[in-house]
Amino acid sequence: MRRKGVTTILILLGCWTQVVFADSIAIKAATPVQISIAPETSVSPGGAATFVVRVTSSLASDHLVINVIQPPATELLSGELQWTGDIQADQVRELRFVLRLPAAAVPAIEVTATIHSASGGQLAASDVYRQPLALPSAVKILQGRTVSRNGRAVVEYPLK
Amino acid sequence: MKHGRQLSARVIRFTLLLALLPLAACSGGGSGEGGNVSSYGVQARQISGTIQYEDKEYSAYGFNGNTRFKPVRFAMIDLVDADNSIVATTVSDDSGQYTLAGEGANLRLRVLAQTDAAAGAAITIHDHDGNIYAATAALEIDQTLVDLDIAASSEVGGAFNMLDVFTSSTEFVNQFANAPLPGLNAFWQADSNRYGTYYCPGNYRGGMCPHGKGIYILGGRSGGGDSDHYDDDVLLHEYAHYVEGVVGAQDSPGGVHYLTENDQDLRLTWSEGLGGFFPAAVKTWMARQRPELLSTAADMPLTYFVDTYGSTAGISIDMASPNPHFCPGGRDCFVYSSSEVAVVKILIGLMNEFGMQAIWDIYANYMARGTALPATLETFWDGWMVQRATGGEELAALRAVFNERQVFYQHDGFEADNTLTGMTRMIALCNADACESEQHYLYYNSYSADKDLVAFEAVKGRGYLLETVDLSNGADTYIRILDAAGRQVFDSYGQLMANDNRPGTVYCGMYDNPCRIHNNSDMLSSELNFVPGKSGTYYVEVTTSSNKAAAAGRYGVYSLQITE
Repeated sequence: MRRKGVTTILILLGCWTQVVFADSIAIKAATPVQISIAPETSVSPGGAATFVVRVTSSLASDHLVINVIQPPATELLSGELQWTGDIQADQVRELRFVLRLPAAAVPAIEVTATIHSASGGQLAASDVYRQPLALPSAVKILQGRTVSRNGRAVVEYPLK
Repeated sequence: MKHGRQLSARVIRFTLLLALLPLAACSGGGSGEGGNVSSYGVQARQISGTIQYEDKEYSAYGFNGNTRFKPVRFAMIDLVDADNSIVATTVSDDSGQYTLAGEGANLRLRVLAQTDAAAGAAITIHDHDGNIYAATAALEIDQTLVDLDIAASSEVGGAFNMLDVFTSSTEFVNQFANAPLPGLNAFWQADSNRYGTYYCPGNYRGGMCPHGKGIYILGGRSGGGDSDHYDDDVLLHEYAHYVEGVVGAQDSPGGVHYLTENDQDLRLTWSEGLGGFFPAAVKTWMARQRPELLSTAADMPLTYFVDTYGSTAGISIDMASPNPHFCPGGRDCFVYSSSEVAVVKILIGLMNEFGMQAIWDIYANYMARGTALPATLETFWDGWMVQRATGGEELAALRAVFNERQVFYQHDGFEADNTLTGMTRMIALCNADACESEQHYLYYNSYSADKDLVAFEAVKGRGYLLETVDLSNGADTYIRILDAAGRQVFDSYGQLMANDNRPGTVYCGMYDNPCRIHNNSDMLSSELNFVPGKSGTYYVEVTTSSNKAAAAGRYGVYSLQITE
């Protein structure tokens, strides 16, 4: 086996994160398509908020469909809720839109990304935006209760 | 359409067992069906019922919205009093049914996400703090029939699906294994992506494996994203890694891998291929033995592997018929021993042809834990040859399964080329207009290194480029030039004419695994620039490198070409 200085160094640097990450543990097979949705502005009931959807794919496709499912009682102020086009391997496609949100509560916003092949094959991914709940101080989150069972810790969840 | 019952901990009916109950002092008022639990003093109780969990059905496109209640099998069940003392304990049967009798105040029923050895192995589902999951329900006064339905939406629904999938897996393995598997611990927490989905094989505690050995399952995050507790195929895949850890040899370097890659480390493709095969094998067995326990839609082949992201399928592939349309360039990438999907398909083919027992026997015996052999498809093939003394029709059928995925553990068309004796065959030289490279298989069934020798004519002072190209199946070639007497040749500059990896190839040394030596067409190929000091007949010899990368194989496919 042979090694060459500069190239070797670059490869080693490039692999550095994997040295820690791999550690002889096989992560489950990675999905080729990834999608996320996140707000770019503050989100509050009754207000307008900008959201950005990001899609990446390790596979190139001529037919990527990004779809935002518009929640009831919202109004699209600008941008598009669906986009169709191509994507190259490791390219990032972004979709921005501004929604007027209902006054009662911020609804969940679901997004999906689908890449199609000419033969009808399909790969998809989805994500959901939900506003973190700010609970009134009087509201108690029901958590599991930890008890001991023969010296081992058991966390009990009461069923309703 | 939803199947089954929707209510959690639904009380089906109350019955007074007057003969059994001394009607101990009851405090508080009575309660009706579905009413509030009342406080009461010490009672002697005998209860029975059925424990079920709500499972999600999935198709090739992800979860289809159907759910169905299934029995919580072989789970440990306690009757617990107000002081947290266990009044009685038992284990649910194969139908999720149980009976308990005991005495105490303000009793509650507790079902642990833990199976008893009656399931063939003790399986325990923990949260990220190491606590064992349990579902509880308080008992009403005089309640004797207590059925628990654990909804998918409850905090512990996922834990009981994992318990059931691992229980089915254990039942499957017990069909073939000589002894029960040791205990399995799984770690998961709803709405937590603190850890991903993987199996930790060692006893080291820390990093990605805070609780040491066990299966770690992605719980997702609040609001969406990927989670795996209802992805049965993913769970079965990880269980296969657990089986590897306790039964077979396991030396996969791990790390990130994509299903469409076909240049991976052979140890990784074997391990992941085994993991990809296991769901198909278990589901095929379940379809025959326990079809009611399957979570798959009726119209979906059992060889599908589905990993959902949200409610839709992020990865969905029929391992028995992988669609190449998502391969780079549209060419079938699910080929070679360096493709995990190819390994899956080969194992499915062998299961269909020879049965699961044949596969298990090779794996559990020839590739047993502690074996020094690399755990690869090559080793599995060798085991098949050694243990089954395969020949005739079986060998032909075996080859057909491997060849269909372009894996060639067999002699090539140029054999009888291991020695110079009688070697007269000449390779045609390439020129600017044409090049006829010849394809060789590095394979020899006596386990000594295969040698591929061929003659070529060279003229003093002219330059010749000898190279191995189009490597596949883990080939790592070593090339050298010999003269007619079999001696190694030096060129006109005094350079020894031998090469392992062509100039510019990067070898990662101590970072061999993480640096990912790829079994692609050229990384481990060889190249010689030869300017002969005298004209005559020379021989080029190609073998597997004696210094081969751990990621590569002893066998493999390459093409040889010489260009003037």
